[in-house]
Amino acid sequence: MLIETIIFSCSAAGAVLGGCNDSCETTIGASEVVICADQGGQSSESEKTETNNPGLPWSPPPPWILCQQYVSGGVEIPTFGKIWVKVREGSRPCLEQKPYIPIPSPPSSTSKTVEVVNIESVQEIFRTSPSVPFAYVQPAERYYDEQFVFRVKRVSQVKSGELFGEPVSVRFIPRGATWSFGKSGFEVSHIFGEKGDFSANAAVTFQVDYKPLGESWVVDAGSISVSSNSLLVTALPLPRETRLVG
Amino acid sequence: MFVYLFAIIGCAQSPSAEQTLGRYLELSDAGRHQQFGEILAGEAMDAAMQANQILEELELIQSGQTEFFDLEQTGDNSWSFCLDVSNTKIFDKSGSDLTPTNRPGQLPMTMTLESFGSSKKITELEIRRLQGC
Repeated sequence: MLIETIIFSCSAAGAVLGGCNDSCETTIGASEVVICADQGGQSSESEKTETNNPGLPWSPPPPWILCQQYVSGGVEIPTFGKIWVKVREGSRPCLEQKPYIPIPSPPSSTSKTVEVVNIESVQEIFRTSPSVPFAYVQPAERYYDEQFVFRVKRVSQVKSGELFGEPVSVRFIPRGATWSFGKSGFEVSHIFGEKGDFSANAAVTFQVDYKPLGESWVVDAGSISVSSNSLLVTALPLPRETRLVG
Repeated sequence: MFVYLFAIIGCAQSPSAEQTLGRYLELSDAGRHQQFGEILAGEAMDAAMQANQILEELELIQSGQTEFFDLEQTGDNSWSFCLDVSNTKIFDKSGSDLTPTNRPGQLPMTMTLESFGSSKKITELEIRRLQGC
């Protein structure tokens, strides 16, 4: 199963509003897997109603500001991404801060608002592809009417990374190989039938499993085909027959 | 007279993909959603009306022009292009600039054009993921 690159409808005005960002989801493309996770944004902090302590004079709280932090939630440990968080001024250290400008609310509360009100959410992306499968041939030189044996290594690969400090993994399991001369299999024999130099490689199809952030493995989510290294073989002309006359 | 009229009608060509897309962006930038029906249909129409509704409900104003480049035909009815919104801004009615800071300035997109009688309309407008501009 190959997921198309097209993901969702958009419009010119939607793009202007910033509502046409790539959706943050896992995509299996023709040659790579992209796992996306997002964190933060406007909705991460909800306003709390403060309870007034009787007898204490009430003073207005500091104004809201937008405070930039690392996605780790502070300013001490640098991480790949940064996030803007709406906080009360002075309540926590910030890498940068800027005034919070409230956006007018729509008459009715709908999910559409999120697209516009979303001040800044941070996405981290883990992209990975299978390593090039290793192919080899024995022997590399042979008479053209003899068999060459082509092999490509059938090795599963696991690629791991981190999104927001949490592990994510993609597993590539080789399921099939098709050689450029038309035969299929991880080990095939081939007779070229004519002399000359020939190149060959195998397109190995991998089953893709992935483990997204905080979830269990998704098995057989798609497949990716990767070409092996190219092999050069020489099909030699047949030796001349020597006849003794006399 | 009849021959003359026939010749005029016969020579009238439906707008090219470039003209249709250009016209759509022109209408969208101007907020003339009443005329979207001339060039949009299907999902593209729904998405455009939805975005327009958000602008109206939140009383937001778009300024600047959207543009496109690298328009290429990719199939019988499909084209790819890059939509450039970097010269546009969003303001609220008090004049505050609310342009999303993380908005991509250029978006790889694809569009599908379908024939409706003698005219062609954009029926799908989508993001091309994993591709750049």
